[in-house]
Amino acid sequence: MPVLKRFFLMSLLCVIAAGLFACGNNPYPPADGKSINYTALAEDPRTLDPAQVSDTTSAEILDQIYDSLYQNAYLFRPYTVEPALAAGYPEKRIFYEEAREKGVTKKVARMEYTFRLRDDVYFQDDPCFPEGKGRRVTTRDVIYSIKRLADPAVQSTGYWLVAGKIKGMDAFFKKAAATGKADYSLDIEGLSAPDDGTLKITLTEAYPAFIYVMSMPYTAPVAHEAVEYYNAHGREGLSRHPVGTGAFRLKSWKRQHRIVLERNPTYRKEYYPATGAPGDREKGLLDDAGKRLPFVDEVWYTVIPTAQPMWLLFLQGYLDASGIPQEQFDRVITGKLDLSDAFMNKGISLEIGSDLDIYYITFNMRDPVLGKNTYLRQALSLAYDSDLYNQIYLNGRAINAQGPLPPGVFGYDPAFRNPYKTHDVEKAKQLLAKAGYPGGVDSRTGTRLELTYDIGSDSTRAREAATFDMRCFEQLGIKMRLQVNTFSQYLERTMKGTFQMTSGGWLADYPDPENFLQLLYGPNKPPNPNAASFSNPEYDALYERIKTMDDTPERQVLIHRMVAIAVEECPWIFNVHTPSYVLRHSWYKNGKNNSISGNYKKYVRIDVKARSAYCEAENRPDYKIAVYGLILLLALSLPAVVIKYRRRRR
Amino acid sequence: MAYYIARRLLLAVPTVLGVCLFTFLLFNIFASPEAIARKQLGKNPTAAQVQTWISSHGMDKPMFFNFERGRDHALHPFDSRFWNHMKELVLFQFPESDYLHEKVSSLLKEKIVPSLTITVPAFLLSILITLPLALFIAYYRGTYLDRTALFVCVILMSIVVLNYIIFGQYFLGIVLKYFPVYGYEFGLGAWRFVLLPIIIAVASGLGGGLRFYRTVMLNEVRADYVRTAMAKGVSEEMILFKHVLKNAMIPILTVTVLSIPFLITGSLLLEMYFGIPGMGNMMLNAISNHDYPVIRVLVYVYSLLYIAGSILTDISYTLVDPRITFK
Repeated sequence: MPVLKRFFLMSLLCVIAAGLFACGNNPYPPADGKSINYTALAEDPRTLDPAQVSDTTSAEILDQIYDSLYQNAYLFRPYTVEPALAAGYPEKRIFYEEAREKGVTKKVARMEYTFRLRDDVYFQDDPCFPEGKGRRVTTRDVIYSIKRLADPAVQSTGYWLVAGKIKGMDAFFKKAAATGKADYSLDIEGLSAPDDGTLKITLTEAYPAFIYVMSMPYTAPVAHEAVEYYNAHGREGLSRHPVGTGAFRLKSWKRQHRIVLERNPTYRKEYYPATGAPGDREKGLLDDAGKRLPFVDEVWYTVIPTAQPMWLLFLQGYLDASGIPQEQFDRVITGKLDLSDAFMNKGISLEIGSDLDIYYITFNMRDPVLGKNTYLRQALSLAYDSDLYNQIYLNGRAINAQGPLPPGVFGYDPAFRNPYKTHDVEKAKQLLAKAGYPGGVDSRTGTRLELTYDIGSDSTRAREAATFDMRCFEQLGIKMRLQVNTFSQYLERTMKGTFQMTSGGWLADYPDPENFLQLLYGPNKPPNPNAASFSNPEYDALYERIKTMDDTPERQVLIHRMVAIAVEECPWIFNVHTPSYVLRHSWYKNGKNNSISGNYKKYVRIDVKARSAYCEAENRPDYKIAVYGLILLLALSLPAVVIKYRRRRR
Repeated sequence: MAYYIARRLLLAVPTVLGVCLFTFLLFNIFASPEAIARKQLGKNPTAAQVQTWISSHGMDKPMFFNFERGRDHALHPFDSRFWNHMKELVLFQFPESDYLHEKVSSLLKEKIVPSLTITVPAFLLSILITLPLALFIAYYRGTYLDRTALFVCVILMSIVVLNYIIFGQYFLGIVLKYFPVYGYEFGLGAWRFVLLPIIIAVASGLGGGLRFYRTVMLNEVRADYVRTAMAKGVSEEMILFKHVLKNAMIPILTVTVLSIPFLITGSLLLEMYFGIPGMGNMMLNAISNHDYPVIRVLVYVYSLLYIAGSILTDISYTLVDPRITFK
């Protein structure tokens, strides 16, 4: 057969085959009548061992599988905790005992929590249990989980939450560190289980925020049978085989691909809340009040690290909810920060939620130039334009930060205005002159002030943002130098305090102001999270007080004072808080933004019929274009046929 | 041939050891054990925890030789960071990923197949399409067909791969709705998800491939034996596929056989944008999460593949050209 003919035939076959194979763009197999929530993850979870969780992605999955004694109330704002596996709130008792500290015997206050466990909580059915049936959870399982945090073999990322807080915890860790492995038969003085349903925890000092610790996956009950079974030689480990008490259990997990959770058939009786925050009823968030949880049969998490495919899948209806990629923001959101008509007409809704975070520029208080010169730091803060930063890098959606606390946290004062965040370059220049650098020149030596700005990544985004920050400061006549580090170099420099300025951010571990205010607490200086090495005796004393207090008006007054100190001393330039913009399709019911990740999937309901109708209408393949393409291909091949024909005739 | 291969393998040993040494120095100079530990231990690790992590990973051991007595009071001079690193790589006792807490060897096993589902068909299709096309274009050299083809090739080469991906996803997935824009299914169901990445891989390599093969063929098409064959009345197909192609095989093999071992390393961009859970995706994740054990194993594996590729290329020369012999 002539080769040209063969080639045309092959092309034709390829096109036909492609047409036959192209069987629509649905990325999922048939749901078989199940109600499935399709969602995306920006990265693969690092681990599904609750003691090792440190990233938000792992926490997102773990929270659905492992329930803790407490959980964040789904609808209430500001965030509050409510009992989950616990039968009610804990009893608290403060008592005094004599203790030797630094060679001196003194009376110290201790706090004892008594938790009671529900009697209908069972571990998920799993091969690690006899006959595969999950056994009843006892308070000894909670103790076991807490001990795992101090086991060097576990490499827990949550030990800091209990280190120095639970009586006897440090001694347990020390013994374990000496041998490289914890001995679980050893008791910890501050942990006891008088019976299967009671747990007593003695803290070294009053620490009301401890209830948040008991709502985190770190303290979720873990079955020792699961650890022993899955961590045995030749098995993949507990990090791949979670066995919890949550509304969902792991069905399958293919790394960098997909995680499927399925409804836990032995889940305790739990019902959708009947009360919520103001406005929730009007939004239909209480329509399912009193119904048994969870609503969906399965949750499919697809790992999608890039924004483009995530966005396309959302538009096709193959993802139930999505964030808004930066490059799409102007198309989706109007100038008034509303959803554009094109999206509203598709039945898509927008929720703007406040994330508990803060982004800031850190001054190194150990630096001889910046650390001792408050006027200089204040001048730099005044020169910084957070609003412009917000417009350029965050599509104008962020909130200009006035202090270390984000909105939604106890103690946040919406009326408070930071006098050094007014972006007033003239005033900044005056302060700079007061600082000893009129026009940016050192009045003693006559040399121009030069400051170094450190970044920990060579990415374009990091360079651009740093350049923006430096431009703001250069308006004052200061010379800025950019120091680009590898991540490890950056970590070293911040740990050793050998930098001058850098940017930073913090996302809340739990919704208590203490979690943010500790970032400027003197004893927390590097390598701990106080990267600025800020130390102020009044601030530190106040921190030690608010740490032990409940959310009372008195605590609020003290927090306001701490914020005022931080603002006046200016160890940071408080930059922005970033609210999250979430889009949801009409079939996604009961959606409410949760910035403190929690077990929220059990509240989600999916209207499967509405989704099918949308997907069918949006995703009907258009074969006409393929036919036109084929005709075009044949037409383009025609000259070759002509040449061939002519040559043969010759 | 056996002697030649044995000699090449022996010569590869210092290369591999050099790569091992280089990766060791790279990861031990640019990252301190404390920085690595803090990165892996999350937000607020205690100093004691950092120390425990470092010692449990053997990072507190001396760099090259250990002259301290161990718990058994004996000297273990080779119980050092360097020798442990070499042992892990050379004996294929790959360590555990710092970030994923899994053995790197089991991660490798999991990722190879998805990568191959794209790279092998794309590789074969590229050859099947570009080689005959290049033969024809070369045969019709100087005609407007050749010039048009060259012009199109230059355009195809000028477009970066990312644009092929974004356009392909948008046009074929969103506008025409023929293919899923993202996802993967393990097993036989994978074909639905790999079609679009394969089409894009072939299309993005078409311009460069055609130009390269055309140049190779042109050298042959002008040869005397082609003119003789034409004078004898041998058909065009026979000349092109039986004589020209055979004689042009050396440069073709150099390019193609060398790339065969790299099929298992996957395609970084395609895997990332189409959600193929393969080796390219794994490399990218390891880099972004500073997962040093995975990175050094991958660097080592890639170096082995390169050596294997170059040996295979040499062997393949003898198969197509009897004048080449091993010495």
